[in-house]
Amino acid sequence: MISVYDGDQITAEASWNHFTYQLNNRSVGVVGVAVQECQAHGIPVVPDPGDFAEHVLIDFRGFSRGRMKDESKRLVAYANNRGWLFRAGDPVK
Amino acid sequence: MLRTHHSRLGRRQWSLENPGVRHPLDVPAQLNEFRELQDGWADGMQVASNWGNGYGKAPDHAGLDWLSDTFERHYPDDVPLPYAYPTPEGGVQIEWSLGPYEADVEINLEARTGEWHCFDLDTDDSDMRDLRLSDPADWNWLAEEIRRIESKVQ
Repeated sequence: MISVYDGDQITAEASWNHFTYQLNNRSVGVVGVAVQECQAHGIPVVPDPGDFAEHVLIDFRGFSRGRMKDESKRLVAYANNRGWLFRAGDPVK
Repeated sequence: MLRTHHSRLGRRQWSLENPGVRHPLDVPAQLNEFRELQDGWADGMQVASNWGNGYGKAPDHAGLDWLSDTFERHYPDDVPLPYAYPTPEGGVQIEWSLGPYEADVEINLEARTGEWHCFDLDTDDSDMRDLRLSDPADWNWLAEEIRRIESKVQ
């Protein structure tokens, strides 16, 4: 499973601030995939607000290891094609 | 971490063009950077319910020595170099992006084994294979496979 933020509920910059400053994780920036890009390939996307309100899980459980690796590469390609949504050090808007 | 990158230059060609300067994808140099990692380095990569609990095993330095040495010994100069990344399990993943082909080997430094995976983003064709990286024959297979893929995208 991959933990992600729901872009309809929080901006890329705000999610970076939450991930780093509030939850004390490290990050060089934010990239994204669309829900439709996941669902088009049968990858479940599940809201999981228990940890924080905007939390969503991309759920690879139930996939074989090979399928999981296939789909993870597909999602990386989508994210790379879209480019950075926010990078550490970007000017504050 | 998500990333994009690609270089088709082999080490030999690059070093001829840039004498005395290390290739940016020099694998031993990339592996050397992983020696600074401490246990817990990947905290935040796991699911959110476990953030802050520590995640990510530091790679074993003797394992990095072995991989660095065996890569230099068995991976030919004229084959595209991979990017190298640490894995949260304490291993190393080496990756190639060649046209629509996304290929990687996930390496277990302790067992000296690797899991090859290649996915064609255009056709959804996928291939997996277990590698014994203590065996030069499997390094030869890997180099030939990368050559074969490279020839398809040129």
